[in-house]
Amino acid sequence: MFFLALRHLISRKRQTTLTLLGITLGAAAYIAISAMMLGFQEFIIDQLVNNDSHVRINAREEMLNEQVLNDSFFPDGELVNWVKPPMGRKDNAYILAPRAWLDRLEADEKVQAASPQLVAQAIANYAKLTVGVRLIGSIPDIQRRVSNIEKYMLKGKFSDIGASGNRIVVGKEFLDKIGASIGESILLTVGKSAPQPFKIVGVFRLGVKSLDETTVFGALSDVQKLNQTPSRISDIAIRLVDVEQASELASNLNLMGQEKVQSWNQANEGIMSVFKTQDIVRNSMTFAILIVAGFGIYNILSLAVSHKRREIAILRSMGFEPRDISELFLTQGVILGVIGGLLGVVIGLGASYGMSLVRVSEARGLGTGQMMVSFDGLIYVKAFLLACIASSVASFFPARAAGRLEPIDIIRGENS
Amino acid sequence: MAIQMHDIEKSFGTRATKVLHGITGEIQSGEMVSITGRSGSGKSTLLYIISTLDRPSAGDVTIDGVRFSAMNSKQLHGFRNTKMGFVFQFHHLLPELTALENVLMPTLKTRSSKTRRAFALELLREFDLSDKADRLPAQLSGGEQQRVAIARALVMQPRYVFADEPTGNLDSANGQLVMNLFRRINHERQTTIIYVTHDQDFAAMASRKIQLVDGKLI
Ligand SMILES: Nc1ncnc2c1ncn2[C@@H]1O[C@H](COP(=O)(O)OP(=O)(O)OP(=O)(O)O)[C@@H](O)[C@H]1O
Ligand SMILES: [Mg+2]
Repeated sequence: MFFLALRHLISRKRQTTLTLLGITLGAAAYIAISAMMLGFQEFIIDQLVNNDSHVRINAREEMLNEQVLNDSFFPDGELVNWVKPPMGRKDNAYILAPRAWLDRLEADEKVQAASPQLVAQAIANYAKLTVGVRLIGSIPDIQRRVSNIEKYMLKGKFSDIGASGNRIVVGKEFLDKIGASIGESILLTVGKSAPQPFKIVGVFRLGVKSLDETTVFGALSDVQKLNQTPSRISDIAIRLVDVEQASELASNLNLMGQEKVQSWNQANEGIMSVFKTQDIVRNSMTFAILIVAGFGIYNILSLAVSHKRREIAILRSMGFEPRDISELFLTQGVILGVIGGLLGVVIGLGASYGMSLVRVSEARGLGTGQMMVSFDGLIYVKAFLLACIASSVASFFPARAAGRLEPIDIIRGENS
Repeated sequence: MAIQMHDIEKSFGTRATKVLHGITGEIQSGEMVSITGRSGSGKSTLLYIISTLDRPSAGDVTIDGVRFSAMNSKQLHGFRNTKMGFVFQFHHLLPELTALENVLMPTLKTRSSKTRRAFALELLREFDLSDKADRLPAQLSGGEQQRVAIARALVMQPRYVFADEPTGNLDSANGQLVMNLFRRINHERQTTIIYVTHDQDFAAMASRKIQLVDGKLI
């Protein structure tokens, strides 16, 4: 039947070409759109995952309000009227038992590295310029293993920070903004004490403007000294062996102490939900394209079935079974789906490659100046499968109808 | 080996209009039987019933000892494929396939196209179509198309060939040609030929004539 199905398709060149075009464009559009959206998502997620940490343990800063106090003082739900409603912050700017945390994490085989950090808001001063920065104190040799920061170093090495000695590594945007250059010193203060000079020994560029503008890395002990909180830490950044386990591990760790534990995706819920919306848009668009292509196939095959009634009757009189007849038309749909899908994959790949060459402005403050395009194989597999499934489903109904035709009705209708 | 008809009746519709009234008889293997009668007398109806394409309302058809009503779909289609050939008034060739491919179409069912190819070519040669084997039906005359259709009906070397007005759409010269072919097949291969015709001369070529009047044999 395959042979005859192929002949049928070839004999209807125009219709076949048009249908094929529909499926091909559908699959190619799906690939191009997915490549663009996923490329962007991959880039952002890579930033979130690899440039910060998979899981972050944070000193918890809890806001106090009526609700919190009512719950703990009047757990039975009595009606309480506050004369002056309580407000304020239950402040724990530091992790209470850092050693216990670090020991526990070290023992966990899911954890690849855990970097204790003291994160402080600081003010940088150079010449007459003053810029607010996020000063991250860490142990460089451990921090290196938690994030990909070394990959993004433009000048110097991240490990140049050393164990102490007031050396820092700063973002490129920050450097431009403040007008200093590598090798020079800037003044940093956290507001509690006199400013101290820190020497710039390296520059990085993550590609996210807001980070490159404000992030400054220093040695943990230096930042602790500047902050006048020796041996205190505020964060532990964790890298896992398998990033997929981040949420689960974060939930487990959350039960173990007062500190807030968040996986990268929990911490960036806002962005993740934007991605979810993007995916919904992408999927419904794909769905629409497939419905259109599917209806095309359905129409053309239904038409073919009614055109070919005589031939169906004669095939049945030759001993071909209803199943063979259904197969004849189903095969046509599947051939269209497979060829259209393959062509779509090729064109989609070409389009994606073309897009990846397009230079985009860095106005968004993101990326490398090149359009971010994903070449994830799964996109192509999905596009191909979607094309095949849509055309199979669309040809199923005409094929079934063809199989149900009774040859005698057709022959009687045409012959006597 | 024979086709037996036991008291066949056929009615159409809910307010039963009876087309065939209790037809009983037997067609022996190797016979050449013509079915004649006025238009509307039930010739086509009878032919389709004894060739398994249609089912009788009452009564029974037995082919080579097997009751048609007792066959399952697989047996039925196997029967049609290997034991029966059909020729209709309109040739019903598949327009996408060449003459030779059309002839070989029934062999696809049993995947025997390779082994039957030589035979198909021989049939085409016998029917004076050797040089037209690679032509599409649209490039053949009506008579040639009908001869291709007959070759197709014969390619599985069936025991029975059923033809409903095979000459109905042809001029007398081509009609004569087709009927001569039938007679030759009947003589040379002992193929049973059962055909419906309006033409008295063609009907007379049969070894036995069945005449229908208002759905009854006379
Ligand atoms: N599907 C049907 N529904 C109702 N009546 C039918 C049907 N098929 C055939 N008939 C009737 O049965 C009768 C016999 O039809 P049949 O086709 O067997 O005649 P026929 O002898 O072959 O005629 P012709 O020489 O014109 O081909 C006719 O009166 C026809 O109207
Ligand atoms: Mg008739």
